[in-house]
Amino acid sequence: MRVTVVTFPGSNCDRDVRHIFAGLGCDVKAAWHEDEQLAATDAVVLPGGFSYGDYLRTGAMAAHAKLMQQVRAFADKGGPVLGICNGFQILCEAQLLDGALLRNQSLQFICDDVEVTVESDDTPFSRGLKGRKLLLPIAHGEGNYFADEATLDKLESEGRVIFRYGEDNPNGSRRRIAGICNSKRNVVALMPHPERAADALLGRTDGKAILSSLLLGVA
Amino acid sequence: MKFRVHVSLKQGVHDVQGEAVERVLKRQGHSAIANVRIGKFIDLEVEGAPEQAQALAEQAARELLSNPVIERYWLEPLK
Repeated sequence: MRVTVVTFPGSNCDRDVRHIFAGLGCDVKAAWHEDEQLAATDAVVLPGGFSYGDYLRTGAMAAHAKLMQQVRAFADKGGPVLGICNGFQILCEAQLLDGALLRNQSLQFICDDVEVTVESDDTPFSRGLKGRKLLLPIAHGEGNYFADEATLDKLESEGRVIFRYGEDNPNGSRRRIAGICNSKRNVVALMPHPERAADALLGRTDGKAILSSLLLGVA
Repeated sequence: MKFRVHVSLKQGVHDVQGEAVERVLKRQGHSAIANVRIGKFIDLEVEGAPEQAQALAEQAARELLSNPVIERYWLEPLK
């Protein structure tokens, strides 16, 4: 299983993501945002961080990176793409996912562990996880998911809300949305960091199932 | 040509920052102030004939400087 992790200027979770996928036995590649071509791969991950310092709007400039054209083509052909935190923001800015991530309701950067419920197992990153409650770390200032009511209703009716916060919605996200997928169900993103809860050394491992889910899809 | 691209949140998009600023203004005693919404502007200098320059500024505003999901923009030509 070949997994490509893209690094943008300011990405800082790329190494952690590569580390976990390598530990799962994947052939991990590091790609740079200016690469012209995306080498043959089975999955692409856009990691967390502060690409372009969150200048203009978080994820706005990374969405226009040269390599994103290739990522878009990969996604259009049905390739699995996972966005984590800043990666979710980038995918929304690139309009590969609906909606936008706004400033947290409290205006504070929140660094905490939250319980997230997996609502669908019909994506490459949530196989076998429907109904599971996962304790995952969040660390973001702009994780407040927003979309207009029509889009939110569509996400719900199409079962495209994949991860949802509990009653203790940490950031004001509409419908307590923590992560979604696109219509074709191959592009998935979430604000929490599964790679930070995938190694027993760090004390939490609920996130590992999200990343290892990718391997379950191999025929 | 010089342009100022004004970017503001669409109606219906929750402006968390604007609300925080409004709270502080009210706390300062300015109860007459309400509905504070925070936007931004980006100044550009664009080379070329006026029509092309305007079109290019519009394209930049549409494709990068604003996020159509949550923001609207308008162009102001500057002296």
